[in-house]
Amino acid sequence: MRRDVWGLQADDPWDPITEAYARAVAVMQARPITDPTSWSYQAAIHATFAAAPPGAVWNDCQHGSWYFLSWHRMYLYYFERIVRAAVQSIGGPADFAIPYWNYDQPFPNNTLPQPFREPTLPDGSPNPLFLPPPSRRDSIANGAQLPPAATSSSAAMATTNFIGPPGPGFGGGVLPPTHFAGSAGALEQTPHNVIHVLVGGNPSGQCQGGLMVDPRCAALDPIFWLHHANIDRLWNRWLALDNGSANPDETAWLDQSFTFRDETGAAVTLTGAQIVDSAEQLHYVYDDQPPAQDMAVSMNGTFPTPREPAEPPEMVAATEQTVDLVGDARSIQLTVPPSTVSLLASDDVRTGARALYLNVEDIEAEQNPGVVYVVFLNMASDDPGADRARHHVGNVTLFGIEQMNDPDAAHPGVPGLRHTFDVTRVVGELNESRPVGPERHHRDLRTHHADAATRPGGSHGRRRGNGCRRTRADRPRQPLRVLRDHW
Amino acid sequence: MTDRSSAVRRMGVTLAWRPEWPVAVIVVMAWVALIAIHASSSMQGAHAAHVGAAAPTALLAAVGGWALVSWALMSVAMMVPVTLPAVRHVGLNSIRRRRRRAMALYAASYVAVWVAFGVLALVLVAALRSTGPDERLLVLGTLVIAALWQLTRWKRRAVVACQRTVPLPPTGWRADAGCVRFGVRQAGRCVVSCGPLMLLMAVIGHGNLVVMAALTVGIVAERRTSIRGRLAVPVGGALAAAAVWTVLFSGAT
Repeated sequence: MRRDVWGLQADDPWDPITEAYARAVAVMQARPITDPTSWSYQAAIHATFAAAPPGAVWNDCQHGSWYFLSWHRMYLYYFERIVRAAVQSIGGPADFAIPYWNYDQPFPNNTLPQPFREPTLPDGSPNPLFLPPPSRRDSIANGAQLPPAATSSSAAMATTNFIGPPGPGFGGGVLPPTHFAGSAGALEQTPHNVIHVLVGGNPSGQCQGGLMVDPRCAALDPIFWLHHANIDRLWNRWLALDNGSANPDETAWLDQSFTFRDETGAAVTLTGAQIVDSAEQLHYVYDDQPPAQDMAVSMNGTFPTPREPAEPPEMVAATEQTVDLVGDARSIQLTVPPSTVSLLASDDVRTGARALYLNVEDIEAEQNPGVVYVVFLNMASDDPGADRARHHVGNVTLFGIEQMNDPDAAHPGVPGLRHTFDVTRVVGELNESRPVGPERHHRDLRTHHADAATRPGGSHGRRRGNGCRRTRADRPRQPLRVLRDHW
Repeated sequence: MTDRSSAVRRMGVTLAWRPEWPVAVIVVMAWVALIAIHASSSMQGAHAAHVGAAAPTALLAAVGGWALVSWALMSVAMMVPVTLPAVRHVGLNSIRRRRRRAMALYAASYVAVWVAFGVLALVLVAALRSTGPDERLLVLGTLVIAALWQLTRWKRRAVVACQRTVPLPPTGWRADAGCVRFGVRQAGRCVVSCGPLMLLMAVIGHGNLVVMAALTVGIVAERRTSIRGRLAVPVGGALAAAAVWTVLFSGAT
């Protein structure tokens, strides 16, 4: 059973499971990189700066596509078997399982678990879970709390489709196996990517800076595995929701296989169909796992996977130009064409009968600046008392953008990063309090820091029709604001 | 009846999600036209006239007329398929009533750049022929350039770059300008990526349908498949093999 790491530490930060993990990490780190069960080799399966030796499947992590969840479940499963074997070899608990870090909880759960902040183990020996600066963001390494907007999976849990776009699907866009692509699912965007960036801090080449922030270094940080155990747990919880959530039923997803190494070092392969039921097929559960019957239908892909709604989304508003984020607050004009004003203001949006999406797309940057951009809608820049939660649309990170820029990487499709947010609720609530008029539409992009260029794209609704016609004089042209903020 | 209406509905959904389909139809028409021209004796004559012409004035005249028409057809047939996803991006990221206009502007701009490249390429080839090198040497040199270019990092970067999309302004002349600018930019990047291959077509002539088809498949594969990172060497190797074959077995074209 995989347990909440903070629950394990209720009485003592060095509970047997976490300490066993630490000691097993030390065992694995002592192995040469040529050993498939070594720490470095396992991390390289995710991604690495190093060239893969013959026969090794390195740089294979799947991001920005519908394979993100299944690949990482397989990866974590075999890693856990390797760690368990190491734990048992040093006399640790026979039922060892990787704990998970559920950061979406009040203090202290929203801080880095204490054993990852201690330089030494209880016996005074070096603690391999502890990383010296600058391998983690200083504030997080020193126990700073992660903000709810960064840790919450509520947006992901609100999705009903596994696949997206056009909407923000839970699991990602349909693509061939892809190291890094631009169609990340809602769970991958937040909290997965956000936690990577916030814990990682500032990236630096060859893993000399923050580890978690760069996919080529991320799995070298022992907290990586607890983070991904939590993401895997959230996948199960989503499947248990009674909202139509379900895994894809398509053979391209179910039959796709990936190769890993087991505790003997042997190459092993799993397909999507072999990992959908973690309890039955992989023999692990989480300590807060929903009842099996709640997930039985969803995880087996019994529901047909909605791929293409009858109509593609209709553009209802867009920025006129690209936006360069260079560190200061920004206001960006958003144009709502006369023919689509009525769509934004319609009762269908207010009631949620029709979806409204906001895309931040075609994001370009040479490298991940190690910041999280927080997107707010219609929040006044001069109102410090604004209800941020009410205006919060989502978070944008550039996690993995270096890999997408790599001309030698195998990543089909459009290489630009794209984030899609469901803004139906936010726009509907704002419309209720401030009926839509020519002067009433603006969106705020709120950012922590900005070294990257982002290109906010349009806002899409599913409504078809021409809407009301207005003269050019009434055309709403309202600002998108980009502010600077710090977590 | 139910089956038929269901099939029609499915077709409608498919086409709604693929607003670029009229451009795809134009690509098919370009291929049909090229095949028809190739099959006709007039095309063979034109092709021979193009390839065999030595005087710059004759070549320039050909560039201004029939050769330019067939180059434009070839550009549509070979280079537009790789940009169909961008056409879709333009369509789906334009407001509904502007979709077709936006896609047409994008596609026209894109093809215009390739036609301009064709004018330059054909004039260059004409000028080279006027200096009197052996035709086989000309083919060999172009193959070697294309093969070497295929192996460079610049080429791979261009392949990635020419798939990038941009946000488009929603209305007015800015929307039109945005589509034109995007088309020119995409074509420019694709010229960097595929220019040497198209230069090869300028040398060997537009009537070589087998080479056209093979290059089109290769270009689409390196843009749209997950194995594109592994395609550079095989494609470059194929071009190098063609160069060797040219040296060993081919007479002057």
